[in-house]
Amino acid sequence: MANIDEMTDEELKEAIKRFPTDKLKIFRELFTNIVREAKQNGDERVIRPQRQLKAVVELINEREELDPPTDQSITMDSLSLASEFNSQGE
Amino acid sequence: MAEGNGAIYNNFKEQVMEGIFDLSTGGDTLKMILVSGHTPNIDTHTVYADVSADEYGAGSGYTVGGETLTGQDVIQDNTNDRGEFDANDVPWTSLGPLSPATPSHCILYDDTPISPVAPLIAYWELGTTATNGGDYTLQFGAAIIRLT
Repeated sequence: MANIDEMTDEELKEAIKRFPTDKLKIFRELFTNIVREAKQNGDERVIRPQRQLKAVVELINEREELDPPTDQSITMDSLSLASEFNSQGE
Repeated sequence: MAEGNGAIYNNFKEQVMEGIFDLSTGGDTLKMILVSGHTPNIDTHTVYADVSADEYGAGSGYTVGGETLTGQDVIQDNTNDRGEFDANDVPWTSLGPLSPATPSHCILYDDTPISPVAPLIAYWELGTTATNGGDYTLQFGAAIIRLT
């Protein structure tokens, strides 16, 4: 596999397609943070991560259209604290 | 334990009688966190700092420190001769998928006390329902905690 910095957009997208969706979402989060911090620091190298981020986001969006997330609900037990006492005060 | 089963921390049992907690409406700020790969210990875990290493990091819809409970209330139930603490269900909007996707437990703590700082109240087992980017809601039963 070519170095990620040397990949074309299409090569990058093909490589990303082999990753499971949950890992792609982590990458999206990481790239978003990288871009945000780079912008805050005035880092000119932000241009490259932005292009990678765009490719990742596009792919995730395509997958989510096919397999949208579902809402989850978990029912939790009520917990009890029992108080015990001797009615005769012993 | 199965998903939804829970337990109360022993430290809470002591400190609830020492006046550390105010679970009533307008009382303390109560929070629920999600953790992964966690092994609960109701004897030795007493405050948030004891469990925070297993909490998820920020991102994918999750905020470190957890979700603040709303609608908390404590009532006297004379029909069943008990006191009850309850609150609204805890929702996370568009959560995850977290990494790992399935939280092992959720932990309720009180973020208001300063001595001790953020004492734990109770935990519940998760471990089955994965986060997938949709809403993730913890539904309490008829009460969160009953004192019988």
